[in-house]
Order: sequence, then structure tokens, then C-alpha cells
Amino acid sequence: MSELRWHPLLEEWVTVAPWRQDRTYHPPEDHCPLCPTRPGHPETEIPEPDYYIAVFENRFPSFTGEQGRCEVVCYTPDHDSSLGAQSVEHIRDLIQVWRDRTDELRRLPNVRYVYIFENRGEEIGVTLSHPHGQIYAYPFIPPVLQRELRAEARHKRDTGRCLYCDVLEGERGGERTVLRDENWIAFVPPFARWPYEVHLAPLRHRSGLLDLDADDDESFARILKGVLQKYDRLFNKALPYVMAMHQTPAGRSRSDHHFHVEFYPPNRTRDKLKYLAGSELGAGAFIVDARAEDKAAELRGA
Amino acid sequence: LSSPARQIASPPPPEKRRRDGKKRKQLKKRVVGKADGRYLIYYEKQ
Repeated sequence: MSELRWHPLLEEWVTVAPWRQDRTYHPPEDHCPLCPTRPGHPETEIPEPDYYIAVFENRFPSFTGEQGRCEVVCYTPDHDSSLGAQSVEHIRDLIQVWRDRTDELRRLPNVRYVYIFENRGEEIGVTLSHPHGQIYAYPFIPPVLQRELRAEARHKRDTGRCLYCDVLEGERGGERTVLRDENWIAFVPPFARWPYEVHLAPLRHRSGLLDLDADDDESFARILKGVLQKYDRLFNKALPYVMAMHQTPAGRSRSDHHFHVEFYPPNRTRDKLKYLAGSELGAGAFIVDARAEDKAAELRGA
Repeated sequence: LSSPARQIASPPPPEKRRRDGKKRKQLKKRVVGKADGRYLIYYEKQ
């Protein structure tokens, strides 16, 4: 079982899971554990010769047993594909899978937060290139979400309104919009900490995946695919990123929280990365050498 | 909180909204156990 240690200065949990040091690291393509098992070859994590979407418990989890759960979501059996290369219909089905996992994991006794994310690209530290995402069911509300929830609660108390709805209100001009339809928007927020950071959000107040209707799903799938295609067209290469879904915490049926998805690509140009260094890591203060309005225009044109 | 205006402003509960909207084609879910005790879930088209 992993050990949770309290950081008294930052007032947050640090999870110690030493066995993760041994996790699978850049296996050759014919030994990919996320591919279906081919006849006559060693069994992978997925014993069947084909699948549509598969989810399994992480072999090297950060949280185990009573603490929480770590799952791997295999988007497709195609090793060389990507999330953005999937059809809108497939992404819509994946949203259904994310929703099902959220609903099941949030009911576990000690789970306080279900976090769906994807790390893409070696630059991010990905050790398996097969297209996949992850789900962490945490025994605590992670600090970034905790800060968001506090800010939202304070704004609600002060104004009576949803904070993120007000952020979206500020995007009516369209200067920072990347994509938009009648239900969802993708935009570079004015407060972006990464040059090509993009937020995807439902225009109507929804607190999480469990709160989306069929129209929301359809738009979410289309806008998600559209943004990922633009990312890969931007520099004519597979852009690395972290995708982070910010849902309402487990156990809250109604919430002031506004569901959204954040993308953080580390690139500042085609070949240069933004590294988290002294100011960002040591002081928690991000310095960005780009204007959101300019980067949104680049992405719109990609 | 119980004024009519407040009630109208409140969104319907998610279950109701989902019922009222378009129907989703549900995926078939098949859970299997792995030899080491972990689970594996296949989501398949109906």
C-alpha cells in the first residue's frame, strides 16, 4: 500500500509508491502491454485478440486497496493511433466509458475525487506510446481542484454566480476562441500558464460527466477531436500534452463547480519546450512568454 | 431558496435532463478478472 505523507508547508498530500520505480519503460512495439494479445505471442494486459475500448487496473498503481484506484483506459487496439485520430462516434463512446468509470469509482468508500487524464508524448514522460489515458480515484481532493473549488465557492458567495460561467462570459468576443458550437467552447484562457494551453467547457453549467446530456456528449466529442487535430497540425507533428478533466468531487450531487477539460502542451515553438524551473517550481509563479490572443489565432488557423 | 424564481433558475437534475434528451446507444460492458486479482473491463458496441 502506498504511503500518504502530509506536506505541512504546502498543506497537501505527497503519495509515496516506491514500486512504481519498476513500471514498464518504453517496451519495444511488439511487447506493448496495451495491444491486444496476438495468437502465438505472450499475453498482454488484454488477453483477447481485439477490443473496442478496454479499461484495467494499473499494474503499478499510485493508490491501492482501501486508498483508492488507478485505472488505464485503452482508447483503441491500434498501437499507432491517437485520441484525436478516433472518429467522433468513437470519442462519444469513450465519453460514455469515462462517465461509467466516474460513476463506479466515486462510490468507493474512501474515494474523494475521480480524475481522468492523459499524458501524451515522451516529452511529458510517457513510458507507453500506445494511445491510452488514466483515471486516478484519489482518497483526497487534489490541491489544484481544492483551490478551484475554494475560488468558485468564494465567487458564488460574493456574486451569486458560477465563476467559470463568468470566465466563459469573457470569451464572447471570440478573440481567444479556438473552436465553438452551440454547446461547447475551446479557448486559450487569458490566464493561460502554457503558450498553447486550451480549455474545453460546456457553455451551460454542468458539474461533471454525469451531468452531460446526449447533445453535450456529441459537442464534447466534436470539439475535443477538433482541438486535437489542430494541435497535431500546428507544427505538423504529434504535439505532446497533458489532458486534465476537472469534474466536481465524488459525493457532491450538485455543485458550483463547472466541468471543464484543460490541455497543457509543453511546446512554446515546434522544437523548443517550456520547462518548469525556478519561478514555476520553486515559487509557484508561472511566467509565460506568449499572449493567449496570439496563440488562439495560431490554433484557429491550424 | 424556495421562491418560484429560484426554482426556475435551478437546472433540472441530471437524470431528468438525460431522460428528456436524445437517447444514447449504450455500450456493452464485460468485466473479467485477471490472474493477479486485478479487473479488466471490455466496452463493446451492442
